[in-house]
Amino acid sequence: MVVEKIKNFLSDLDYFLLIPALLLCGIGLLCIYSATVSGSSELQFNFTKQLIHFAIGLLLMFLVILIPIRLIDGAAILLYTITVILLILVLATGSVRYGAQRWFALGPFSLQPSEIAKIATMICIARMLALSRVNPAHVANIFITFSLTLIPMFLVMKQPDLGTALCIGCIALPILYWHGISLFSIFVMFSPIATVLVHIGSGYSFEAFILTLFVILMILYFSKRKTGIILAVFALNIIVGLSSEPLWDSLKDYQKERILNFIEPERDTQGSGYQVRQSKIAIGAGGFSGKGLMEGTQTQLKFLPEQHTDFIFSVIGEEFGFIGAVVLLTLFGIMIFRLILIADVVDDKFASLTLIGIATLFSFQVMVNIGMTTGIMPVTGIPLPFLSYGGTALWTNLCLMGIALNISMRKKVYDIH
Amino acid sequence: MNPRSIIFSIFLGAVWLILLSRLFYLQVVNSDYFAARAENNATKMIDQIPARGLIFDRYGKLIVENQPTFSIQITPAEFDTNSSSEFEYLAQRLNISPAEIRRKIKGVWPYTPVTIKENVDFMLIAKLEEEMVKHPGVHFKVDIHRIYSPDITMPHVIGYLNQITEQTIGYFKTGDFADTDYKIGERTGAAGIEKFYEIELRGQKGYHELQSDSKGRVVKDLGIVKHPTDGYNLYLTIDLEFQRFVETAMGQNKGSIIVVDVRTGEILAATSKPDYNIRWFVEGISHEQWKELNENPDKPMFNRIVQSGYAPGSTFKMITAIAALEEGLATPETYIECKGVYLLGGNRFRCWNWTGHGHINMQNAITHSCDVYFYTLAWELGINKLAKYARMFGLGEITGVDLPNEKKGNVPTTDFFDSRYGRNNWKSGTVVNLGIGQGEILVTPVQIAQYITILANSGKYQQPHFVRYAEDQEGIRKVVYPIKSVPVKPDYIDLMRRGMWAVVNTFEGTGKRAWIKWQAAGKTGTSENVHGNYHGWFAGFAPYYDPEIAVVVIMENGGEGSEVAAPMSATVMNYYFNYIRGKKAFDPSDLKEKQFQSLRNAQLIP
Repeated sequence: MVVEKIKNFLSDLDYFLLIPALLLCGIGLLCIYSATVSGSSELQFNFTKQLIHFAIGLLLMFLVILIPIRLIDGAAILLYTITVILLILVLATGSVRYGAQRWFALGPFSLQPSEIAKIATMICIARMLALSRVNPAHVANIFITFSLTLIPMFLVMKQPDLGTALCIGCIALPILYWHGISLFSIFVMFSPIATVLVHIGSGYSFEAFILTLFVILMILYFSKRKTGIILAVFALNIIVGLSSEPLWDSLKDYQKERILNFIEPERDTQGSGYQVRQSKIAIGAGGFSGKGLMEGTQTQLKFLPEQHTDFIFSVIGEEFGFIGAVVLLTLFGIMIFRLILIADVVDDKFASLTLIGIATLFSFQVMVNIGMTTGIMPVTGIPLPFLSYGGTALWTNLCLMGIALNISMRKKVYDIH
Repeated sequence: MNPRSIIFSIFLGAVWLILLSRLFYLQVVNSDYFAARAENNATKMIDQIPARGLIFDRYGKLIVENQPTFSIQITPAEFDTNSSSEFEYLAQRLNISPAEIRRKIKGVWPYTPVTIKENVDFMLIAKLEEEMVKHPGVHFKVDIHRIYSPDITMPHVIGYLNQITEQTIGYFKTGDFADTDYKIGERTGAAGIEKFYEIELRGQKGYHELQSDSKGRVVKDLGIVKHPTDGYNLYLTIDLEFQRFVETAMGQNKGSIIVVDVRTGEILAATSKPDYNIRWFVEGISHEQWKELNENPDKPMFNRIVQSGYAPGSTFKMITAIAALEEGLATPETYIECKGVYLLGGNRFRCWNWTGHGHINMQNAITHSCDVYFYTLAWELGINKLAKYARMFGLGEITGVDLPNEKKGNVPTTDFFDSRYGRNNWKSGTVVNLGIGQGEILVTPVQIAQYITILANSGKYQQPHFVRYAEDQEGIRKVVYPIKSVPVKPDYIDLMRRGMWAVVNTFEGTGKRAWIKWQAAGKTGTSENVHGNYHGWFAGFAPYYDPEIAVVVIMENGGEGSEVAAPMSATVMNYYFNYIRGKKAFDPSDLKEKQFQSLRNAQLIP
């Protein structure tokens, strides 16, 4: 009977999700080994630790698969509350490492509540939206989602951990869109940001500003909304645009420097700019087929500090080349596309929204991380899911994978409903 | 699928493609570039500095050599910057303040060694070396300095070395220097022979390749990949004893003296006064000293031998005469009446002798330096013909002498006046003044030295130069300068020579005070100068019948050439005939057959 049950369990697993996830973990371990083997014994120990992290993570994933999805749904608000308390506690009592207060020390391992906040926030939003009785496009949904997002985002930002805060923040819009708010609402939320970016980016060019406003006005006009709304949105854009210049000028020089370095890391030759430059060299030097495992000079001679964490992708780039990078991107692609497919067919609001949250979280991290290591995105300290060194992050991702597998296994059950 | 999943998929597909194309750009399109950068990252080339070429005098005596000096450096990444006792230890050893050390390593890239003190005593280095094990991050660097034989002065001939700075490194990355791989902090010739022959003297760097990690720690020694090639040794034409005599004779006067062996073009002595002490630059000159040298109104850093332009004055008259003879406008027997003034279109051009020379022929016009005679010839010749002959004798042209930054001076043509003042906006009478070497004509002392060499040799000459032999890895070779000749009738030059003999050796001659018993010939000149007293010229050669040397003297603000420059020439020539003439120059017996056809263009052995 037990054998039969296990057989059934295994045959129900969604291998389009599981195999890419396990392969990615395997590649990650290989890269961590390669990035640390030529280092100090302390550095080498990271590989063993990650191996243990992986084993625990796998266990966690299967545990999550076994939890009835309704239980997860029901515990969402409680989990969210606990996470927020943990975030406040870590700010008050957590240990400081690399200048940020993120960790609870647990023996040789450590726990980052901000990683748990990713899951908690996501399922809590999914729960609240699924419970919502109002029209999916209603402003109340936007309000709830943003409130739930901004609290943990703010606390994580305080640590400070910009990367994780952005991961928490990135979920809101796609989940809202999936829930049913209109593209127009998203446009209304995005247009002021676009206005500011164009305005600063063009060096306060008046023409560019007018052009942006014109494009916004056109979109507003063709959206056929009420004149009052159109005028309000338009006025908002003008005010934001006009105030961006004095706001920028009121910043202190070092603040401007920091923002500019953030946008264009190679401006800064010694800090993050150094890492991005070395990372680009490593990836570029890998060429089409790579230098081979443990043959990359950039990796083996330690030109990238902390390469086994956020910059792990440069190891793949250097040692496995373009082919390796394409394989990696394809594995992520299969996984994420599969998540969207399941979200599309699942007949349960909470499950569907959760799957979109997971897909968003993975895509966002992959995009920002690879964008950062290849020098087209700012350095934010977002790890590459499944690959980067780090216990809590790996556990989070495997738990997310567990939730996805869980939903995918039971989608037939929901279909019957 | 519902439309929202399609929008999601499209969005993610776009992101996927953007990342893929970025990777394609880095790893396929530009992979060679990045591979080279990675290679460059991992390997470290340690320069193997070649020995800079040595410099010898005319008699093969070593006068400029190299001496290693030591400087103390700190690599901040390895140095314990948190420990104040480390700073105090070093400060106490080097006799500087700890604050100064902190200031020097502040804000620098921690893996780059920073020089804390230069020219550290060798005994101290020996002591520090023993202690370095206990003080990580402290090490010493060997640097090569020039050391000069005690009897050498002549800063304008030898020149000095200067460190390449961030401001000047750009210059050393282009042109002749494109392949030299200079780095900031290295010393290069900044004046004189040291600068002119920088590439030859310097030799070629070698490289020792190391594989190092990101901290600069050596992981693997790949050995010497290229051995350095030492620089050329140079054997100069200069007679140090004579040089010193000439410098002493010049004393506090401003100006220049050049002595050329007319048979070879070898420069026996050359001075530019006032000057400076080359030894000042050996250990690095202080900012104050440098400022003082550069702001001194007498310009001691200015190399008058090749850079100073003066009007040639009457020394130019032989060119006017030869031009008129060659162009058929006059013969040696052309008589012109000098009444002390030459009238042209209402302008009066005075002869220096206001009472006039009366009817006078060409040779006597040279001897008496009659201005009216040459006014007349110049007017008939016109500006351009005059300029043509002046250039034929090397005036207004680079002589090619082996000193840096040589100036061309100015031999004006009608085009020059047209572009300067506008067409028809200048007086045609200008040519009259040019005929006696005044006005907007500028020549350098070395040009006059070459011009006198040509006259002394009746038209044949080798360019004036400072190097007789050069020695590379294969051996010592002669540096040969081609024999050139000026295409004018030797008879005409001989007429000039006779006139110049009479200048010095007859009672009426203007250069009587240049008389020596070995039969000198020459010409005085006075360069009119609107800023102060006249500059005095004397340009001559000796002996008259079988010329050996040409002597050019220019004394800035010294007054009439006949008063100041002519006696100086006599002093210099006397010394030559009494003490220098009999000395035998260094001529090696084991000469390599291949000669250098002028060293500057010699190919460096790759």
